[in-house]
Amino acid sequence: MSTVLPGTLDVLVLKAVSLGAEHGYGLLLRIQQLSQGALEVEQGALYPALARLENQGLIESEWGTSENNRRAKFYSLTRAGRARLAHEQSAWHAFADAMALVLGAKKETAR
Amino acid sequence: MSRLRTLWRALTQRRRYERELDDELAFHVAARADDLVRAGLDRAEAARRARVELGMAELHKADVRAAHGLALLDGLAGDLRHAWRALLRNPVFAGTAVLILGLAIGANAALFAFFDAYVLRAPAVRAPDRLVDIMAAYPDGEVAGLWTVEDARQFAAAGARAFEGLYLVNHVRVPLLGASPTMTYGHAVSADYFELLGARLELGRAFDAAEARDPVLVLSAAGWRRLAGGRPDVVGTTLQLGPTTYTVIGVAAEEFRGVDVVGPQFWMPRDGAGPLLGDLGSATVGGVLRAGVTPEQARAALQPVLAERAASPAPVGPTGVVVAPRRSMFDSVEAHAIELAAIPVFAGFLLVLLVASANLANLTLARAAARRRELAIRLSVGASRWRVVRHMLVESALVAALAAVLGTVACAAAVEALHDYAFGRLGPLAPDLVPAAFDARRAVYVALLALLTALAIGLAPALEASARQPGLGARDIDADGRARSGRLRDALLVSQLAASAILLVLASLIVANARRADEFRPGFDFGRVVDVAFPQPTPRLRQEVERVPGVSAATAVGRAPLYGQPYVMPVRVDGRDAGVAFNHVDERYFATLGIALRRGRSFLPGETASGARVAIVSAATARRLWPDRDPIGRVFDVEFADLPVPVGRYEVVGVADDVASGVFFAGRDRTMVYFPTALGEPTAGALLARVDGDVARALRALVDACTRADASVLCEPATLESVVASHRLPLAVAGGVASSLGFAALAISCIGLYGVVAFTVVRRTREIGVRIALGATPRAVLRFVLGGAVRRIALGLAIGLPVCLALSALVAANVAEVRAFDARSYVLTPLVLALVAVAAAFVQARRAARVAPVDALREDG
Repeated sequence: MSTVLPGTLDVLVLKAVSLGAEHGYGLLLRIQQLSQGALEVEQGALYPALARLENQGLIESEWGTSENNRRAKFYSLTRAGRARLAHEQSAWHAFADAMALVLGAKKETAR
Repeated sequence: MSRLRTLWRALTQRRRYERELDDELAFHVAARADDLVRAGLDRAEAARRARVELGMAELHKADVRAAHGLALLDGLAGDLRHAWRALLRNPVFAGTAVLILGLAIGANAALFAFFDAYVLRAPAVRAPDRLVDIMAAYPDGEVAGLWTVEDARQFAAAGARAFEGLYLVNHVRVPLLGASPTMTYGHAVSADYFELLGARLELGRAFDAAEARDPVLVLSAAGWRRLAGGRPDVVGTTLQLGPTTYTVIGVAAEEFRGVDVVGPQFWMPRDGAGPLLGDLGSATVGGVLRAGVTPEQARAALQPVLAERAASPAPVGPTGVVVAPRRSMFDSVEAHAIELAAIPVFAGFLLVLLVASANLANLTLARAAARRRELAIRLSVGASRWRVVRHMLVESALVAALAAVLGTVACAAAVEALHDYAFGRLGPLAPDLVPAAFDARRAVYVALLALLTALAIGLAPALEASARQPGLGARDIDADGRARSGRLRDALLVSQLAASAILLVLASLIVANARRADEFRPGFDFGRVVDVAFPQPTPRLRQEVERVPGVSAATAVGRAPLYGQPYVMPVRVDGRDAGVAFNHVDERYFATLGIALRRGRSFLPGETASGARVAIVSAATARRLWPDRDPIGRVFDVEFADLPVPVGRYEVVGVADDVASGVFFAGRDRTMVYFPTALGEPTAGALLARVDGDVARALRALVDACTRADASVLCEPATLESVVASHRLPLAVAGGVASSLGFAALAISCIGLYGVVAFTVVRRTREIGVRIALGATPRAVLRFVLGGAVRRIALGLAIGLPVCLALSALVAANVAEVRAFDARSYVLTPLVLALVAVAAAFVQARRAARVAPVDALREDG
């Protein structure tokens, strides 16, 4: 289990929200489950991240009722959020590929 | 968008925002606890564990608020509350600060209110952005407003595609006759004037082209009140204006005042105004451009009308057209002159505000230094430098905001009284106060002043206070802080004193110039000589005037003295050319004014009627033209044909005492040659009467005498002394304003100096105590403390006086006849300033001298 890399929390939250409207605690579980327990988001850091994304207009919130009948705040992706997520995803893939290339380099390929 | 919405909701429904934040975190804890219970923990332990996992809820909430952009505002709100409490802790300091700054801001706001109402505001017409003046450009570069009606007619034809229409205006002054005759002022306008400008009428209707020659009137709202008592049934009634009876057909709405700063009391059709105007041949011309037409295009459309004249080698009249947008109640030439004149006035007012601000900055600096321990502690426990600066700036901003509110209120309360003070002496011709409601423009101006004030009083102390090193122990901060804050305070104080010196010396210069008008004596009894002020006086008028009780004599003169510098003409004397001032007088002039004849005689009745080639010269003229010789019987020649004096050889028959007949600051005439004239001649332009009885009663009776001589004339007789007084009015007003500004600045500076010296003394108590313990006498301490103050005062004056000299030289270069150097102003004013400042310092210095060394050493710096 590792904590998330600095700067990647927002993308993770954005991706988690994109899978369907969910409340904060649900998003936390969702990230944990998707990473098969490899990533653990610090619980307190989630809410400022949500506020930050909401403030940028990438997600929006609405009060609703949770599965066990509690009043909860549900977050969903906005159109801008969807566009940002797509952009972040391709940027992340490009970065990850480049990292893999560099880290996987053998001695003879380098000049 | 959503960001603003959240921010807005958070601000307007703060309690709800906080509740929802709490609810969300509470849900999180509850949901986590549910899961933990499911995993086998008991309920109480699960709830505890869930809370621990979430961590410090308050910290997360603060982060959420920050992410929503609320942190800065919350911080500001906190600073504001803190600042408010700080002010309440020091009510005297806060009250004085707000009062002084409030009055300074109020004065600036009032000045702006006038400027805005009269100079910046467009006339209230249908299309103010398309309103233009058609100005006449002359070959010599002069631009004036008058055209011949023929030019205007051709403009209307040539400019039909550029203009919606052109209108003609003439100004009319005519007496309203009746139980108590009064002078009225109105505009004679072309028939489409109202339609073109989109004037709304309160009552009745406007005149149209069919009525262009009828005796009908539209009253302005002000004229309705003044001339008809605001009667609702005024339409259809008649007014006797001079020789003609006019029927009132309408009353304009309050907001429509024409396009001039002095709003007319009525409008009449210009074609029918012949008896009042005398000359219908010329008028000022204005127009409304068609939408989309630029002034330059309009000019190009009109210029061909003047093509023939412009091509002539010796053109008569204007050769160019200037189409100038009329953006204010003044035409473009006037507006430019006013804007130029307004710059030093605004500068003076702002200077006072800055002096007041600098003073407060000084006091705040002193207080900040006194709070150095508090600040050092705040810095050392981790407050950022910006946080401390912000905190102090918020305090300044609060003071400035309160002062701005006070200033706005003071300005609103005083603006009418100030208006009456400035324009009161113009009598019925004073412009009506343009309703100067507090609007967005004034709000913006006041807000800018408040911002300037806040920065002026807060920035320096804030930066200075925050620059202390938190690393040093709270006790040792001094070592670094003292030198810096001392320098800054000194700079502020010195510039304050310099500004006060500038304002005071300028004020006393203006007052000195105004005083010269009071002390002026022309050499004849000008308090008893009345100018009847009747255009083209007639023998009939003289008969009526001489019948008035109290009038002992009446005399005709070409141009009444003291109305301006006399005209000058070339004459030839013994083969030399000389320029001499001249005037025309009849045989009674010298006796009526009480001017003694030193030699020879006055004119004879036969000479004045026939235009005999004789002249009387002043003593100074005689000395100049014929030094050391008897002037009687000498001759000179007039050789130029264009003068109001016929060509020929003139013989001197008398020598008169020297008098002053020009403007008061020019003194006695250097030359003056009197030529004969008589009533009824074109050269006899004015009638003067000598009053031996009650002057006020005679003035009233003279008005009736004028009306008896000619029913269309309501003259306004005035003693020549009051003519001089009216020259003095602008100087007196300017002097009054400048003096009040100067004294305000001096008072403020002295408070500041007192405060700074007091602060230095308190601050250096220990040092002084040591000096005394080491044997310094009280006198030495006094000298030492006072010396510092005197050095600052001297420096302030050394900076202020040269600036002032340069400024007044600039004024003198632009305003003719104002003396730039007045010894009294330059010696006395700085002396007074220095004395007051030294006195303020002395009080504190004495306190220092009495410091007991033991107390001083015990005192904890």
